[in-house]
Amino acid sequence: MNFLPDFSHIYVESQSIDSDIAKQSFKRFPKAKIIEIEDYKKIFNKNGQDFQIQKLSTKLILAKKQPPFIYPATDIIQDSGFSNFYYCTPILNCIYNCEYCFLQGMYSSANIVVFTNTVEVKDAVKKQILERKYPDEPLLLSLSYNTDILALENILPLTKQWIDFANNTDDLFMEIRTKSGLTSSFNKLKPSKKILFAWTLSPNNIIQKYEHKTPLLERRIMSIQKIVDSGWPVRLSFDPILIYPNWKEDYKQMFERIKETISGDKIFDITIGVFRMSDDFYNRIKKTKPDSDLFYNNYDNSNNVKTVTKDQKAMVRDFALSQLDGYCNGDKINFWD
Amino acid sequence: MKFVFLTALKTEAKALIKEYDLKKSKNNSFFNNNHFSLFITGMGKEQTLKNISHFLSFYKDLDETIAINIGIAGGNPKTTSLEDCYLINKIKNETNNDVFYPDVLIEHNWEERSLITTKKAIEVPSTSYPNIVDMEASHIYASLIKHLPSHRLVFLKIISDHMDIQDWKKIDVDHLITKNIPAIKKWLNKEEWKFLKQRRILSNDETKLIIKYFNRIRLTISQQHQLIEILENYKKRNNALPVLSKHFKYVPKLKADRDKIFQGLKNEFSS
Repeated sequence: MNFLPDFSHIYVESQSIDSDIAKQSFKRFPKAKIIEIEDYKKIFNKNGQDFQIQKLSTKLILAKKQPPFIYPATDIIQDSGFSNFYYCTPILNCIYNCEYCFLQGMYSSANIVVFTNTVEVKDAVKKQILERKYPDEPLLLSLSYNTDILALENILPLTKQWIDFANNTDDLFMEIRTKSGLTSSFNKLKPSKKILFAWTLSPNNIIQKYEHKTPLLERRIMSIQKIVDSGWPVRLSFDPILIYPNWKEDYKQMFERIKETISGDKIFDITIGVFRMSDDFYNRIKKTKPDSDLFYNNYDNSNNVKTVTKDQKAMVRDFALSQLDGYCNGDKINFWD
Repeated sequence: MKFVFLTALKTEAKALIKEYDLKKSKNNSFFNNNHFSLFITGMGKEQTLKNISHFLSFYKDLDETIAINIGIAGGNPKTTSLEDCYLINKIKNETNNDVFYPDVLIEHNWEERSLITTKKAIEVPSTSYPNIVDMEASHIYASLIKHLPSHRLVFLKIISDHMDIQDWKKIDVDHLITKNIPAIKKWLNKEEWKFLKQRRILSNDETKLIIKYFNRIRLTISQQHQLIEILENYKKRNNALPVLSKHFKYVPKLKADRDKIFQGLKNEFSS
């Protein structure tokens, strides 16, 4: 189809135009139309946007992040036992387009915002480490709550910079959630126990139907293998496990493939979850009449979160646990509840 | 997909009316022929706002319409060429500093420029106007964005002068538009436009029929909304609506009877 390629246009705030990230972006996309803007919110939050239509040709917006730079994590994301759990938003939105993703309910725009004042954000993280509530424990920072930062690594190598930052900052543990297959940037880096790569894995049928633009399962597995074998901690995330006719067959094949390729002993931990989304985001998405069949099912409404029924949750839990039985220490498996 | 051209002047409309064989309708300044139509907005803020409001009062196909503002405009001599057509990617209202960014999604062969909508015609080039100036675009965007999404608002400007015009009558507007019509026509023939339609679960005919049934049993607005959502879910899950006629034969006389029918429908189609 003849839609303009992603990043055909770069909208850049005047105050960001001389930043390193802007310069890198202009170099990476020499044919992009550069449009100077005053305030990114005037384009990112403008009226009359359609998230899914903008996904046909996603634009890049470069802006200066205003405070707050760091946020306490919400209940929707798993903390896996970390008491000081925060996230920051170096990027808003994602180059992938997963149909179950809350971002389409969180933002009216599908365009990707990259914040250029990374030094200020990192300073705020350092400050938060000093002020953390549980000083005996490190601070866990999720970098990819509102994006898949690693998926952008061949466009803007931000993940590598954040890894350097974590390695040079005491009491900081960083989680990078991803579905990407991009690991080449890390081949030359010394593995760090302070960085937790959390790879979301799904059967190919799910990837092809719901996780648009993401790498297929085998590509993700190959990336995990390389990273795990190099000595980086890796979390496997089966989240969300979706329920549909014959779902067990697809997931069984996926678990088998993972068991035969990735050593369970080397895995940091495993998280498992089902479809869930805050009522607000769900309703906002539903209003746009999305094509995805995920928004036309009957869900339970539990504490303002749309999710599957308790029985379905138990079924997924029992099934996943049985599949992972003997793969790794049971204590390493966490289920979102 | 439907396309409506919006021009400020009759002379800008002439070539488009001829090319698309548009017929004058009973509505003032409106011409149409199947999927293409044209509306003359008039010049400047007051006329544009008043006439767009009139256009919105009778035009019924907004869900599947692309609005294209085509017109002549002044261009900065350093950044534009006379007679060339430009696609606008940023519109600024000089008077109130509002800025708009139409989504640019479909490939095209024009150069893109930003535009400033001014109150008066600009007759001396200056750095304050680095690209293109006109007198309507920001008013059209501001009026239509309440009714059409940003990706269905398109602004094409053909450079008639380099902000140095002495005698407006000397501009051959018809020639300027005619010269650029082949490229515009080719662009509008692209398949991609059809992806920009409003997404709907229920077709117009289905919605009309359902509303007719709802009115027959006098459902409340809240009940109607709930049932429409349930029926949309049903259609998405089953690829078709259920047979509804049998459920709406009995006309209830009491609220309690109506509520009972409503609850029955809810239970039947929710599962």
